[in-house]
Amino acid sequence: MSKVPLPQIILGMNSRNFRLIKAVNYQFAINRVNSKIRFKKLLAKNDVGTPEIYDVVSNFKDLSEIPWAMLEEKSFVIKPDRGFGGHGIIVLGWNKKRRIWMKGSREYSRENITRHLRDILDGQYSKGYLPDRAFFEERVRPHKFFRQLSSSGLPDIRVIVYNSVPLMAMLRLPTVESGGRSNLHAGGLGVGIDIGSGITTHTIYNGGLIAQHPDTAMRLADLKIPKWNKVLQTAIEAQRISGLGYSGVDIVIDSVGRVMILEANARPGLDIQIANLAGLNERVVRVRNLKVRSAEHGMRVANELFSEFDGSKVRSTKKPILKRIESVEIINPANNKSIRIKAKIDTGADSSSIGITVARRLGFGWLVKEIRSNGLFHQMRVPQARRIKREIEHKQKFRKLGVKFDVVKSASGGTVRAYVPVIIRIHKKQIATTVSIVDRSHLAYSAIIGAIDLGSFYINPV
Amino acid sequence: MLQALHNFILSITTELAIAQEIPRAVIDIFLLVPFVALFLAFLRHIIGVKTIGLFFPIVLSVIFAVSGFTYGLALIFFVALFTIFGRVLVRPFRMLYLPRSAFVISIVTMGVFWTLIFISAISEQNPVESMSILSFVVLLLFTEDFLRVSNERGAKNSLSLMAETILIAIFGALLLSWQSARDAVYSYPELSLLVPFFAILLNRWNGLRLSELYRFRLIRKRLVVDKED
Repeated sequence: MSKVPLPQIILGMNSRNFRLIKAVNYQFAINRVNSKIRFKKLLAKNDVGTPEIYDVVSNFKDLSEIPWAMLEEKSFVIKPDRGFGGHGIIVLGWNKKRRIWMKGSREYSRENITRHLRDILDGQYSKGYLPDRAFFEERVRPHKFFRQLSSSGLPDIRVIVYNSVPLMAMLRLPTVESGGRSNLHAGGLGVGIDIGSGITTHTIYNGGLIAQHPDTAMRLADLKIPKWNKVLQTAIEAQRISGLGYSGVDIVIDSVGRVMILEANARPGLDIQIANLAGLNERVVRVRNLKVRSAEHGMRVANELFSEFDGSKVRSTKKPILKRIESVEIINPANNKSIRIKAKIDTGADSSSIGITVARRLGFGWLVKEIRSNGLFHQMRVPQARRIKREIEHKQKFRKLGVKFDVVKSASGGTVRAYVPVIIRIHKKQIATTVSIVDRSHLAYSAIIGAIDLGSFYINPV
Repeated sequence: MLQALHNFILSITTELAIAQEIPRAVIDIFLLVPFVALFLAFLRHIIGVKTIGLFFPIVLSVIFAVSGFTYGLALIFFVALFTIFGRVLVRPFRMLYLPRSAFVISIVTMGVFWTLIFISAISEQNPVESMSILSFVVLLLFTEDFLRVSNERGAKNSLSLMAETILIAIFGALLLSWQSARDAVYSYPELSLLVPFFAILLNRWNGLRLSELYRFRLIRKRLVVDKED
């Protein structure tokens, strides 16, 4: 193993506290961001997007003057002004039929709300139990990209900004374990994001790396974050407004595509380095002495210096980005017949499959008949499927044309699938592969492209 | 010159304390606490051990050293036990924070008090006499610390933090009761004055903590692979 000068690359606690927080985060700026209300007002004044504040409750007198008429019919989030780690935040949705707020599936009355506000005012959720303020904030409905990725809670994007340059970014996803909070300590996921392209890289979960979402089994790498440039630009603007030299900015994208700041942190955590498998210290050193003139300038610098995708580091080729539905061409190399169809891009499937109609038009009609006559489209018990597979796979007519068979197990038993050699052409890339023939007549798309054929693409699941 | 300084410091600390009839043990502990603090700061800053604050383990060390491990650990155990019990008991009432704290604290105080009485009754010894009531009050202070940590980090995390803190405090207590160290500071009280300088030296260390080498091991692995490419 070659020697790596680790401390020069990775940012540790000591160095973060001493060389960054002490050196470039002045008290006035820390005070500015420690109050969410104050910072949000400042952002709004500077035309930077942030979820709207409906009402602020500063003291017990305010409790009797809550503008219920205005709040009714609205969905909102109640937050402590100086909360941390997602504590004390409750999300309430207005239920039109019952005319009451719901917290998850439970009704939440005015009395419940008042009680929670009292707890916040008493300082139960603030650092050191100091008395605090509470506020009602507009409830942000996450962009559909995020809704697909996690079942509950509001995912956000953490961007570390230093000297107006975004150094590193991470997508934070809530899990069932984290109870809707996206904090890593609570059991949330951190997905590293390549700063130049907005494409996700590695995922950290409880200190180790994983490939799939623990709740949804969705593959988390190679996804393109929507509105990436706007995200970076907003993060830089927030850092500049905060006055912090080094900050972690939390950003959300809502269902209509607004990019908004949730908050900025003066002491952002260090685990973001693991999610990106890269060190912050090295990046700090590289931009420390730059004169960055504007947000755009900062973005260009980050793209030049820290993007992994057009540098020489890991993956040097630019992969095309696929949407959920793509037009693909499937070619039968034996007779050069081809067909262009809309296929579903599905990383949840191991291999690709085509429907009966598509198979017929490619000249596999005879095989469809064989499959039918052997009853292979039907579910059967796994041992029976294995026996049938053994019986037919050696037949000359199949072997001659490269048709293979395999048993696919599912919850309700097994089927024998026939695989034929084809060429799939997506975005000018040709993939020589085998696809299974499946009865897809009851499904919306006549073909799906599975994970094994998607190695040379990035996937945008929206 | 140095000799004169030594004599001067000796005369205004140890000798003066003896003249005031301050017990030897108290002098030793006063002079050694800075070293315990330095030791803890070292463990946290260089090694990366986590403890609940810095004052809590120091105070715990002193309690252990003064009242003995059995009594100290038993006291912590009962304070923690009744804190958890009090929290469980208070839950159905759905109380606000401040009244709830008063509720929990009274449960802890009365619980520990009755336990001590009960123990002295069956063992026919008087543990309350052997300890200063002060150590209990100090522990009560840190109940809030413990509650805060369990609030911020979750119960599992805070229990392991508590265990680590107690372990570190035991080391601190061993240092406090180490005879050679006690003799050294007793005869050379100026040693304690050197601690601030060591602290400044400690502050100069900006590098990774030992524990961070493990925490960031995956990044290191990746860097090594990149280099070999």
